[in-house]
Amino acid sequence: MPEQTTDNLQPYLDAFAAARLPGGEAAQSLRAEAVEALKARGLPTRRDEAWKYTKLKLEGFLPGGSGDAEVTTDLLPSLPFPAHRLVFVNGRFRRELSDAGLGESLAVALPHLTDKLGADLELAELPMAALNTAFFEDGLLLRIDATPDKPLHLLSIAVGGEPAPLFQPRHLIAVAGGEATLIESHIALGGGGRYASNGVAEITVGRDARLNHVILQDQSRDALHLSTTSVRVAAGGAYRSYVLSEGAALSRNEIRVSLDGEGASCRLDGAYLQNGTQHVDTNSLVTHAVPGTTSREVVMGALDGRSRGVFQGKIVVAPDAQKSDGRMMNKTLLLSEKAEIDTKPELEIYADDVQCAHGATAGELDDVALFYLRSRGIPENKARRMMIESFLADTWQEVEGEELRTLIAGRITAWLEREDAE
Amino acid sequence: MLEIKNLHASVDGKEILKGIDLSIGAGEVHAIMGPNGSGKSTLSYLLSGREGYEASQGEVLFKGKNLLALEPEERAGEGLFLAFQYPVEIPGVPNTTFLKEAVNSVRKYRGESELDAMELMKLVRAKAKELGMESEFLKRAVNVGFSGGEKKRNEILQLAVLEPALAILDETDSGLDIDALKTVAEGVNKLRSPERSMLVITHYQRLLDYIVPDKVHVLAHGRIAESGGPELAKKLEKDGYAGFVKPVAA
Repeated sequence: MPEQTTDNLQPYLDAFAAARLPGGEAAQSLRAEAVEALKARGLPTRRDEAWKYTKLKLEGFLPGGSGDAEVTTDLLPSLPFPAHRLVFVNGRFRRELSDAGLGESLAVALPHLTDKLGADLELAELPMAALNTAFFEDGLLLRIDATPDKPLHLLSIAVGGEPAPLFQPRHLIAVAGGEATLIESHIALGGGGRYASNGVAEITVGRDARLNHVILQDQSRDALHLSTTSVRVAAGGAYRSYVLSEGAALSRNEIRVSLDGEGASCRLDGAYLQNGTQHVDTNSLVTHAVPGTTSREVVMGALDGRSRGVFQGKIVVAPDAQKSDGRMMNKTLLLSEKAEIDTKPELEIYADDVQCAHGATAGELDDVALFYLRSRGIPENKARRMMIESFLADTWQEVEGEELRTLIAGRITAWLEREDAE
Repeated sequence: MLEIKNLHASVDGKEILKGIDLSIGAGEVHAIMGPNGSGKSTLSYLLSGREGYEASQGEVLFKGKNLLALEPEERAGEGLFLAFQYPVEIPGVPNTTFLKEAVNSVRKYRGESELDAMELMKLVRAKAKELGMESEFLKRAVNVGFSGGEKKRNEILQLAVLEPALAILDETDSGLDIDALKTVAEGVNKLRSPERSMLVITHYQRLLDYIVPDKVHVLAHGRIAESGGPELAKKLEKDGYAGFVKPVAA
């Protein structure tokens, strides 16, 4: 039975008509285009192949709200190593909470941005990106020409409320040269609250440049976290991302990477740790557009309770993109009988001289190994933790930088310890 | 040290152990020999607490305590050790981490202070040296990519580090060539002491040339069919298990 997509959409069309959104003529025509795309295809439903396993319930979440909520620097968590801090509250850049220097507010620069925004997003295929395009108010505008002295820390703070806010930051990031590390933390002030985050990041990695992108998603358990990332990598450039999904009632990370120049590469790794009734969806598309490009993707997770994971990954090798080398793997540990993973890795190859592979596994902890550890005196819960940690270590081994690997491993351990305590 | 009284056990609904009686004193080394399917492995798993192996009748006292009521980790804490016939590979867990967790878990159980990483490495290196082992493979993941001989030596290293009161060696000779067998047996012999009992489970007499037991028991059809001194093993080597295997009913 067809769903009434226009009904779902109506509150957003009304909100759009009433909203006063920033940007000049070019931005407004982009927004109008996004609204037309939404009208034509509606919000995502299970009938969309890309949303087949994820039911999005956006009702009750309305655009805007609380971007100027009171937050003081003493409330902000920091990383265990020095970094430039860029703070967003409900999708709005907060200069007074951020370190001066590197990034700036997209909203401030918006009138001067014409052709950059939305250039690589196929709005007809990406309804959440279309919704973001219609409504975004702010975001991070970042251009890097040489290796920064410290990593950048994008700290996204959410403040929930009633009605539940839907905030839609839009980040535009260009690494033209050097090697940058961008760490995103997504958290809720006080840990809880109802809200939805629907962020879009448009990233370009220039010739021989590198971006290490680590996303730590620990949103409120009552929140929706939707994220669309579009990446273009030029010759010799490298984009490496790691997504750790711990929080949110429902989260979805959609990433599209196009390897555009010879020697371009990407790594899209990550781990999901979920319990209760949480739902996590990873959707990736890597396009090897030219010959001699490399992609790697290792996404693994542990699902407990009645939680559900979804992985849809696709590698496309364009015609004549010979010597493409692409590999993709999704592995899941099911820690309870009620947990579920739906996984669909795909290859679409239009060249004949390529090396591509994909795989997926799902299983329980090996009970013989568990007994082996226990027979040496290690208590059952500790033995389980050791096994899960070692399983997930395969996801972060390739992350650039000892301190980042330690940070990720530490968060996985902390999650497992909290699980045991519950 | 260990008292097994009238022990019965079934696996998947089939009775495997049909009334075992066995008593091992402190410092004694006993061997259990038997043909395939006689219940040797079931006995070792039952004693070490593997899931799916439960006694239907009888009792086991370890240092006077009801062993069968304890979790596998509690049995290890009390001083029981099983050297596995097939040591398990645990990818991603380095041997040193594994040994540290094991030693400290057991020490914690016994109310002793935990060792820090330095103290533990010192202990492990010393034990490895005593057993003539390279400390290189301490860095590798537990048993991953180890040869058959390395896996068994790793078991003996764990035995040495954990210092149990009772060690059960389950088919420790399986999959070993004669040189590896000698090395492993030498390691075991170094760990013999008046405070440490051992139960050596084996199909072949060969291992008992190197680890000479105080007593030998023949397990057949889920019962101890005969007990004797080391000479019983020699007799079995000569005559085989034919005398203990029931003729198939016509």
